[in-house]
Amino acid sequence: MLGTERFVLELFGAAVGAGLLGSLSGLGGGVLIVPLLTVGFGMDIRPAVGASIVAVIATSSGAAASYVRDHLTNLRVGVLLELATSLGAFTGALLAPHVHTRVLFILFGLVLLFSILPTAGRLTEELPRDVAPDPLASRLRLGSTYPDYPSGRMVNYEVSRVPVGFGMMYIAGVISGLLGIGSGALKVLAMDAAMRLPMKVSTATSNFMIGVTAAASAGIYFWRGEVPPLVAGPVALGALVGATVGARLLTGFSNRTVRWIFLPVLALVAVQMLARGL
Amino acid sequence: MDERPNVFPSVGGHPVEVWIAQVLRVGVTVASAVILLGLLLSLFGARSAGPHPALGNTTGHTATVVTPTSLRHGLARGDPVSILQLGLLLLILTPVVRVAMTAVLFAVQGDWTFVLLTASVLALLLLGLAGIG
Repeated sequence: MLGTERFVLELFGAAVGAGLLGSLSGLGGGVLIVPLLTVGFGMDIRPAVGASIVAVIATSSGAAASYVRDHLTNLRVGVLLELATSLGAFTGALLAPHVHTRVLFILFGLVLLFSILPTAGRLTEELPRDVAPDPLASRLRLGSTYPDYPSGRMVNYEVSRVPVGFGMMYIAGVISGLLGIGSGALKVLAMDAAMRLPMKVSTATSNFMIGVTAAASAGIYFWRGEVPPLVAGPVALGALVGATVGARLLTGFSNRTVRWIFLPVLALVAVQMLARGL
Repeated sequence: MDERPNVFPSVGGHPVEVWIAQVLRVGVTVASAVILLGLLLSLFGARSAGPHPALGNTTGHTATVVTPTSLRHGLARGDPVSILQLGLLLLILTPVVRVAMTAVLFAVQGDWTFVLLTASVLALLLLGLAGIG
């Protein structure tokens, strides 16, 4: 039947676009996939979330590997906070069947709007200064060093307010498990604002955790039969292609320009998701 | 520098980071290849006309539960959709393998607090994969 082939090809093409846009805007591939499948393809939100959470693993892994290789990721902070995000994702996936689909749409719209705010506001990326490590950070030896490529220096940094960061990560995990997204914006916010990690380390470590967070809920969705294979397959492959191309393109032009171009698009998507829930 | 233990320690002649990056790359590549194979077989393999039965669960609440047994039987029959599902499962397993690997790397460094932390994350992931919920 020609209909199925066309549907799968269209899904693949649209997912390439979502992966590209997600990667260029810095919000990650996942945040646009659920709107694409529900608003764009008229799918139910639950299988859309299931397909998206699997695609998130594919899109985040490439960047995670590069950041780890470049020594920007703080593995100790990542592993510690993964405990919070995977606990949260587990909670979110168990909670999801009991949440009304309209509530899921509204929550998605709100999360999208809130993810856009820090993206719009982040104009400078200077290093945090005079960070006093909290006792937990000292005991777990979370402070580390990363190579700052523009200056060619090794930069030492400390980690503060670990319990606050841990709590925020749990919430990021719940949202990820409920909505099928990586919750990268919230993860970066927790490490950047609460734990005072340098922005580059926050971004890298957030990416490191996204795959694990997604896997914690994806297993549950998978065995529940809420990862429709003929949707999740093309979407995962497409988003992976889009994210890979986006990562190559990004080195070519300024981050800030890209963000300003895509902000209206993302705001429009957020409003559409909200409208579906109201 | 002994206060900063995680500055590029080396395991088996390679920095820890190289091992982790490699697990992620290989996992995603293998999973993508299996997904692509399953997808091509589903679409262009021989089968009767009509909308694909696996498309049934994209709308409405007709999700059919997948079980390890149903997946195994499907794979034994060479069912394309089962191959596709295996690829998706391999993708989900990639971060799980990465976490297991991280636990081993912390163990090699003798950092037992972090072995315990990583093992807890692993236990949680396996619980999800065991189909709890």
